Amino acid sequence: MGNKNTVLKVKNLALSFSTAEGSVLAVRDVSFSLYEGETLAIVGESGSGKTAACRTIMRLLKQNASIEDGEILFEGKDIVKLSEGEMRDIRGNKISMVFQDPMTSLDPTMRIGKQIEEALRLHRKISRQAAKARMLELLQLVGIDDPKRRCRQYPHEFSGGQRQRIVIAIVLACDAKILIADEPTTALDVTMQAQIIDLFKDLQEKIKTSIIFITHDLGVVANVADRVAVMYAGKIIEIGTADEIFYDPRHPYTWGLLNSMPTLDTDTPLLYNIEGSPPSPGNLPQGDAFAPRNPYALEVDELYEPPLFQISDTHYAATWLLDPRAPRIEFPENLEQRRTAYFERFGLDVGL
Amino acid sequence: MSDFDTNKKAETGKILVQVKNLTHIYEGSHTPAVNDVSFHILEGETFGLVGESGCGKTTMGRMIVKLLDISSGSILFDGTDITHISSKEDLMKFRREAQIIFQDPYASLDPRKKVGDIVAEGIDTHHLAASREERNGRVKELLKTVGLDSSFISRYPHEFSGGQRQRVGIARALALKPRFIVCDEPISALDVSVQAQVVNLLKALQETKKLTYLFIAHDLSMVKYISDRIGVMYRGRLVELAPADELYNNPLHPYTKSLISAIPLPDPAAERTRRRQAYEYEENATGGELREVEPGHWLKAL
Repeated sequence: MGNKNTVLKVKNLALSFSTAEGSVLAVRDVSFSLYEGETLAIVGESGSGKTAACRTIMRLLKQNASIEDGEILFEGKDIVKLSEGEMRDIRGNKISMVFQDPMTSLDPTMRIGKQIEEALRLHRKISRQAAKARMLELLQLVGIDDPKRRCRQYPHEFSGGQRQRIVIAIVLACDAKILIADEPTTALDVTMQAQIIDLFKDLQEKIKTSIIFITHDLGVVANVADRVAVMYAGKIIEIGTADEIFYDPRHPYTWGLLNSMPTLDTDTPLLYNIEGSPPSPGNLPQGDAFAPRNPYALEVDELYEPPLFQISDTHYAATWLLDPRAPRIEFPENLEQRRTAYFERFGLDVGL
Repeated sequence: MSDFDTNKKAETGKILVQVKNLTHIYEGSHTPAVNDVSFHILEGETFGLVGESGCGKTTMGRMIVKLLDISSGSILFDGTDITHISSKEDLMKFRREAQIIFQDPYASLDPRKKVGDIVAEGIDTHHLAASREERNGRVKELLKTVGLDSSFISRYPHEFSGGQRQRVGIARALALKPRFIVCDEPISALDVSVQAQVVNLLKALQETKKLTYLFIAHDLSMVKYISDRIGVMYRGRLVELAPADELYNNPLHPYTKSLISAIPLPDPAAERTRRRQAYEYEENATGGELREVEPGHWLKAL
């Protein structure tokens, strides 16, 4: 992935919310690049900052939020510094967002065909007729059958999965360079979820959009992502290719997440679990925020936050275990099995 | 970890819950939410119920604990017909046997009540404690059982995380020492790292308190992990029923096949090569009788 063009670069982003208890940092020193045509998944639990970080890219911030530090570079400009007017040219046009609830993006009182046509005509000068023809094409493309009839219907006449397809058609109408999808399949059933994910993959192949896919579901991530960033307590604690994160994870939190999900073969009497719950942004412990839940925590974790250590060209993790002075530890057993199976399959060297 | 055996919990083979031709039609609707469903749950087992939203699985759970009226059909609980019980006295008696845990730990706890009063609800209604001390003692015991600090007794739900609230919900369900608990999507609103904690707690409680569960969920990997037998619902009908391993290794109904082929797996290499099976609804695929095609494996006639 080394020679790919970067379409978006987030550097040292920090975001705070003012609350009754004072100002709290919800996003802390987050940096990542998004490459042309890739899907980057951002995984995290509630309060991890994943949604806040991505809303900052759209500058869709709540009133009590403020950007404390950092840059978001897009097409040679810093999004952080743009005026609201300049931002309107980008938002929904060059960078679009799909939300968990499709009704966030749909007008319940307008026929869906008209909503797509409006998006088309807002972003480029085309005739009414051309817009209509393109609208029908888009509905077909996102898998709505019988578009000529269905374009005259209202959002409530569609199922949740179909509504999400219509939202994606609107996003396509805008020809976005970047699509930010915030838990777009979380409210859907397994079968519908699978279809929407296939649609994302299919579209990406056709139109080469870059996608940021925000989710808490690692199963979904394995399916859509080229690269994965794992967030915890406002920070990216591990980032790498999907293979690196799933078969060779290095951060104990990533281990915990992978281990606590049963697969269809899990038959242990109890599931592995991470003790405790994620900290609230206003109440972070000193040192590494994950340390109180980390069975592998070292003394240094209680004092200093670890930096991101580099493992490969594409793989970084923020854990003191990667410091050369740290004691060697055994990989958790079933992760070791994952690694070995994977490395053998691809004929790679298993050595750490 | 290994002091209890997860498999073959239902050694006695005794039927605790028997559902016969159960149907529920919501007011103003023409299509039944649950349509002529029959199955039984053995004492000590976890019976999983899966299907997409709107398939009737939640309606089914609520009917079984008598939170919803039954349009037709019957329910036997430990051999007693509870289909038509409606007096306060009978319902109270039944609630001591059968309880429910809800999906959303944020919505299912009264925000104005202290945790102690929420957990003690059943104890108070049934006058099960002779004194305030005995009552609070029991509540603290219950909180401890679900892994919460006994100091929580005088605090309010909003002070807790989702996982802690779900533990409060479980403590409330346990207060009357029920034999049977309907778990209606108990983990789907929780953070991933907390889901495993709650599932482990439910499994441990089942072992120590000899509980029987109806576990309703849409996370198919989790359902497979926790259940002994699983029923698959589609459009109000039960279309397939089999032991957990058998259902996943040998799904027979096209809808079950489609459901299993769609389970997301945390394995990118497997995901790259997987093929999903779509399922197109066919009227006659859900309408027939359930037939036993292998021992313990039931299928709606195709």
